[in-house]
Amino acid sequence: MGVAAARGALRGCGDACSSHLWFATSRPPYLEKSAGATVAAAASLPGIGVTDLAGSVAAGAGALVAAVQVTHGLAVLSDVRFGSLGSVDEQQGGDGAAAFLTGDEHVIAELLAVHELSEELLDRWRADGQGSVAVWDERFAAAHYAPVVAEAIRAAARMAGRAAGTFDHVLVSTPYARLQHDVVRQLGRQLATQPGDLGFIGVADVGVRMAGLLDKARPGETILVTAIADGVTVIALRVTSEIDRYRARLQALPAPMLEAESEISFLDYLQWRELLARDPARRRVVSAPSAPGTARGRGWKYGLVGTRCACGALNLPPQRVCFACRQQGKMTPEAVGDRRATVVTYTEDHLAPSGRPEAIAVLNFDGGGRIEAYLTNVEPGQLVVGSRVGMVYRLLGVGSNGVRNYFWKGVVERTRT
Amino acid sequence: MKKAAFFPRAAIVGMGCTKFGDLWNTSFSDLVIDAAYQAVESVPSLTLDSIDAFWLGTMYSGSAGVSLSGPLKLPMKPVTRVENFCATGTDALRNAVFAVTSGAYDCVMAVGGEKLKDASQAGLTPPAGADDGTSPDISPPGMFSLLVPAYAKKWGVPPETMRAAMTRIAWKNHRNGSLNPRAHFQKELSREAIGAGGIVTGDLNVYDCSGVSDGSAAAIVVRAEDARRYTDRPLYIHGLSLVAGPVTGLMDPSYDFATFPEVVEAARIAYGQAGITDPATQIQLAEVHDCFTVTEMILMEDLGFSAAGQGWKDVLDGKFDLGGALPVNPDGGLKSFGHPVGASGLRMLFETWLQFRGEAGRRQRPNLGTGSRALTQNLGGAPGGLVVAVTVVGGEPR
Repeated sequence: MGVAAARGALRGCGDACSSHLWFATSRPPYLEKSAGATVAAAASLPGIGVTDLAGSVAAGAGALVAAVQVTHGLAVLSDVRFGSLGSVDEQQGGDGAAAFLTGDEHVIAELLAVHELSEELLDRWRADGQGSVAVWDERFAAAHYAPVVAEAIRAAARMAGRAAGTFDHVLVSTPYARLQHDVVRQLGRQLATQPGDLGFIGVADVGVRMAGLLDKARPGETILVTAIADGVTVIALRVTSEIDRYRARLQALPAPMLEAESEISFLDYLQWRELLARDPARRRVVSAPSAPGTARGRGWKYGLVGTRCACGALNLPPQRVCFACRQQGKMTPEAVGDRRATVVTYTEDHLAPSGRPEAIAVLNFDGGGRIEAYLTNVEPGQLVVGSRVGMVYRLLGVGSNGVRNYFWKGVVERTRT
Repeated sequence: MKKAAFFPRAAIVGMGCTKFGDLWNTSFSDLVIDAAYQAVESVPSLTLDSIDAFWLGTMYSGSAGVSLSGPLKLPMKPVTRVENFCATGTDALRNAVFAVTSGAYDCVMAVGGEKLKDASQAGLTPPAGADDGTSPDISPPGMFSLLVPAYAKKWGVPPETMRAAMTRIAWKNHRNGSLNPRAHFQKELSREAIGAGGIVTGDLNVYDCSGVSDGSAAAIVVRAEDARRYTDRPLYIHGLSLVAGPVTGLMDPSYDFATFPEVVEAARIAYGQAGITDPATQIQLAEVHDCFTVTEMILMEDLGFSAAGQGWKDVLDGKFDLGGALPVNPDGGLKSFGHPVGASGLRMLFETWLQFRGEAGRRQRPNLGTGSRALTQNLGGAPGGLVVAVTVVGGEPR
């Protein structure tokens, strides 16, 4: 999701792209090893500076502030939420990601004020290796934070030179519904019911909500962003007239892919999240990716970069000897991650090492090139020869050596109406 | 450059084949000992010691020549292990032919064997090489199930007709296997039962898939001109081709998953060697690689037994039934004889050996006389990247 958000944020930005990537999540795939470096590679930003802000939910607002005030670049906020069965976190938590590119020129929203303070409070915590989050009584946190947040908002509004109640849009991000409701009411607003609200998305929550507001904001409008987690961060923004030009630029690009909707059963969800062990069903072990093999092919593995032969054939993955002209030709790198493809044939493998049926298809890319790939979120009967597919960066599985194997999968494109 | 228009003149003078199946009480060593001794004992004038050299074909079950020399306690003989996916057994034979026709040896043995049932996984377990983890880890039925939607789309065959043709192949091969005391599955199945099988991958159900079996087969190979010194009924090799494809089907957008280009080429070469110009009439019997029912259907076209796009129709018309115009897999095929990978090529040859000698029992085809030809064909790998072997044999020398 972080990769998808990063690639989305970079659309239409030409070469004016970033020099630093701030990656925030509460659940990095690994400790010790950077997840931001993986995101940078998969967003085709190799070689830029990367900082991971991992572990705390407050890292989301932290990444935004860092990208604005420390080093301009790309702030990527991504999270998945776990909760013990039946808990509020499980029922009202969501998964998502958002990314923002910061800079000095052509900004679509300018900064009016930032006010941040930390708060030491044992309200939510999780030890390393634990699945779900321990939560103290929600009313305890709500009562504690109410005056702290009110003061922080007043301070930020003063810095922005306006009254707290005069912002055109208000955003409050907190795991506590009660607190969110109280803060919004104090600002004299109704809590907007967002269609398709994902619930609380942890680190990414402030980002996903902010992106939602920017999607509909008009030039000159002001936005007050309040993120509450281990303290309060308030960011005041004013949307500029550049946003119309930005939207026009995006309109001129090929439309981004919309994934077809699919139902995921609760049982599948529990198994994917490893919250419920499934009988291994006498399947072979999940293959174990090798680190040197991955490093040798990292253009392909992370960026889905193939090679175009001088003869015109697109070789996916990159080949030394071209499949079409069988020469050791002059090869030029070419990325296909943003391209659509057409299903040539497909199957659903019930003998997959994961123990779950896996959809697999042969895909011909627009502009040339073919791969065989896993598809994700495909419902039975949805696939036909000729289905249109786009590519997303996903976790294929956890290898028998513990390696979390991320690579590109196909998703069926939603038919636009 | 020579494109193998000629294949050296060699003959098979002795053969052996174990029963195939879930042989829980039989080890890999037991299997290759049984097949090798059966082959030697089929030639009264031979002992194991009079075999000059050995080729052992196995994909998973052994490594190096010692996997055969050890069980047989061979006294310092040259033994080579051969591996070429599901064409392993035929490639062992091919190398044995080259050895005698080069003059290096006079009498050699090709042994193929596999012990699959010591693993507890469902299906075959391809050896997993460490790589970058980007290729789908697709099961063999998964690979071949890709053929079904592609073939149906290309030729406009409705799903129920595809199902009926695949069911017919499974029904035929189970019926043939029921006549074969060496087959893994010796039970005839109704078409209703086959159609109702549990899905394994895509459109393939459990009855569309070959048996995963233990087994072994062996052949004794000599130069054609020496053959009658060993037996009065040798089986002569008229053509034998091996093709390893360029494995471009998964990157070349023009490959359509409705044909096997490697099979077309291997057949062309073997037919050229054997002087076959119209396979549908000049071949009297064929043992083909029915790893999955849809594979057999497409092979009928690629081997020239059916016109392109007509394989399903000929299958449904009974052309390839035991009593049909061109019986295919009279011994039950991979489908019901079973598929111990390294043994399968030699197992196919064993059926042609029995048929030409008139020893095929209830499966015996009449009128396999002078001028009759039989074909065996293996393929290994996945559609888009195959190793293929095609062999043409007959009861008299070329």
